[in-house]
Amino acid sequence: MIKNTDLYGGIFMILVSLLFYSGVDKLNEYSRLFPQAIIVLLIASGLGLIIKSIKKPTIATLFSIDDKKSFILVAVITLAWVLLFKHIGFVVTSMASLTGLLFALSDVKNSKGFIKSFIIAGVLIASLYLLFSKVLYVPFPRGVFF
Amino acid sequence: MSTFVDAFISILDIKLMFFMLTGTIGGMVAGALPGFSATMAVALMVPFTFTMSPVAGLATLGAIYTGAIFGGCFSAILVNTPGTPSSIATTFDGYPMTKQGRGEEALITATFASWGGGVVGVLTLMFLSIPLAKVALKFGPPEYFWVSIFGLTIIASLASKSIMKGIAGGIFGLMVSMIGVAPIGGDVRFTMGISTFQGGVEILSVLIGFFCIPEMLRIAGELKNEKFVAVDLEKQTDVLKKSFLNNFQKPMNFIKSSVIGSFIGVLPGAGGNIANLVAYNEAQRSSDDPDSFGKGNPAGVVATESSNNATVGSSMVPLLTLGIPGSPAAAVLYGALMIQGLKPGPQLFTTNADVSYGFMMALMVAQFMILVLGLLAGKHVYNGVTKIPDRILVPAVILLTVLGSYAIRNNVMDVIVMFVSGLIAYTLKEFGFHPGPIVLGLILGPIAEKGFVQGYLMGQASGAPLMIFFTRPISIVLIIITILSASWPLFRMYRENRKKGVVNK
Repeated sequence: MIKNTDLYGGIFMILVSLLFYSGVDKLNEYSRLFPQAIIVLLIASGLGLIIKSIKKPTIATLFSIDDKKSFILVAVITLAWVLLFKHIGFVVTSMASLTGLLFALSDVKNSKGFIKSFIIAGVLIASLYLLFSKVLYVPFPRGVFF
Repeated sequence: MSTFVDAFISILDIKLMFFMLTGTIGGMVAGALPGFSATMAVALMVPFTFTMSPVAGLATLGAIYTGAIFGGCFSAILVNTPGTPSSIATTFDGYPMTKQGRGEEALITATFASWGGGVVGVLTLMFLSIPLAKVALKFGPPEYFWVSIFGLTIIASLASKSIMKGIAGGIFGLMVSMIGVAPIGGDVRFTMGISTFQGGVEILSVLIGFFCIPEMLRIAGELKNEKFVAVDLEKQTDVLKKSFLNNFQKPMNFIKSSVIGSFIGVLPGAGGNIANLVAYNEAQRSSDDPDSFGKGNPAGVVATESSNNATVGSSMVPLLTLGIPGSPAAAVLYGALMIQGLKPGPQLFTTNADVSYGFMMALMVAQFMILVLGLLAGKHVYNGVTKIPDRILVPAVILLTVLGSYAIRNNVMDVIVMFVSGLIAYTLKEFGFHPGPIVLGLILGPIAEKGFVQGYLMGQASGAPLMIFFTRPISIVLIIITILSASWPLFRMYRENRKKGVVNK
């Protein structure tokens, strides 16, 4: 999709500044002194980009992805991973997600490919789990499982 | 001089050397793991030094710190993920070098630069501690405000294609850095009801997300046609010689970057995270070929790695001379000194001179350890990573980002922030925004705000709140440097346009 990136960038900056502006009112003088100035600058830079998008736009092809399926699968599986991490527990979520990611990106899409993905995921998670939890004392969430 | 010789002899102990070597290797591994900062590595090892002698304990911790700052370059160069904030700018040229099949050269170049920068930093600590500490003490809030504004002028170099988008990105980064408790006013701001944000957005999570996730998504999106080749496996020759010459054939870049790192390291609150960006900017500004930066120019790697390792020694200046921990890692060392029954400050040089000079010597030895280890490990680590197919590398790196961002504060929200930042960075990259200015804004935001509001309060006492920013001598010098730095890209553009005009005529 070919789009005017200045326009999109400008709109994004103005939306962000409005989001932050909505939280400024309740602040005391010293808490809002700096953010207020930054919000004004962010609005100005957003407007500047919008004006540029009219006068001298930068046109580019956005999101040109060859392998959309792999891209979306990686994004969705990782999102599910980070969201379920706390509730289901580190080991189970990571095993499922990493196996899913490896299998999704694998060129062998059969039971053999799945087993290979499962084994690689197991080895990676076991070694990093041991390093982080036993050597570096990082307590991972256990969730409903372990 | 005899003090240094005595100190050197005192650390020539096999057991101590073993501790230091283990510490350096451990630090390198921790630094290479995204999310595992140098401070965390040092803090984690403090309990193990309880039973050691003061010199051995401090030497081990110093070795870990040195190793961790150096180790950050491995992940920055090989997978575009800065292992520590000190390696942010290493990704700009290090990763493109890897993509060109020059990853080994990048790693060895970084090794020489880190070693050289580290040595300059320790020499600064040994010989310039007192005068530099005096200068650092003269930096008040207005000066810190101007230092951060000067830092923001780097945006012009980092923005690459569009200065306007670079400025907007930098301001966006500043805005995001305002999330959390206001440093002076004390209000909880912009948290969107998320309690974890009260402590602010964790910068390391954002860094990992900004640099790593978009790259992994991009590789995944180009796997089908095998169009994307992460690494060209063509064998390189004379890597050692090339890497050495990258650093020392034209040594000005290396010298300047090491001096920048040494000076920034002395300033309490600043450190490798700022030094590497400032040095990168200066290397690009003074280069004959500034356009090649960001596309795999080894000078970029030299600048960032020599400056960030130079901060290791110099960041100990305020700690050892004034008893002020100037960096988070120095704060941990402050604790380690107290545990050993020593009081950081000037008396360390009188009553416990053997400890302070022994520590300085140990830091120097640690620089040589990273040189040897870097030269030995560089080739093998590079070969190991390049042999991993992208279909396995992408999930494995994502696993590391999840683990790393969680390990920072043992907080699941940091993992979510990391991934969401990655998605935002991917989208903004599509719109033509470089992640560099955004990250720069995030790092400098808290320093700028604290400096501005504290300076404003100081100014209120004299009735003219803003005048204080323009009347102090160091502030005036910083304003002049800021103006020169900001106007340099415009001057360069004008000069290039004039040259083109002459050629066209």
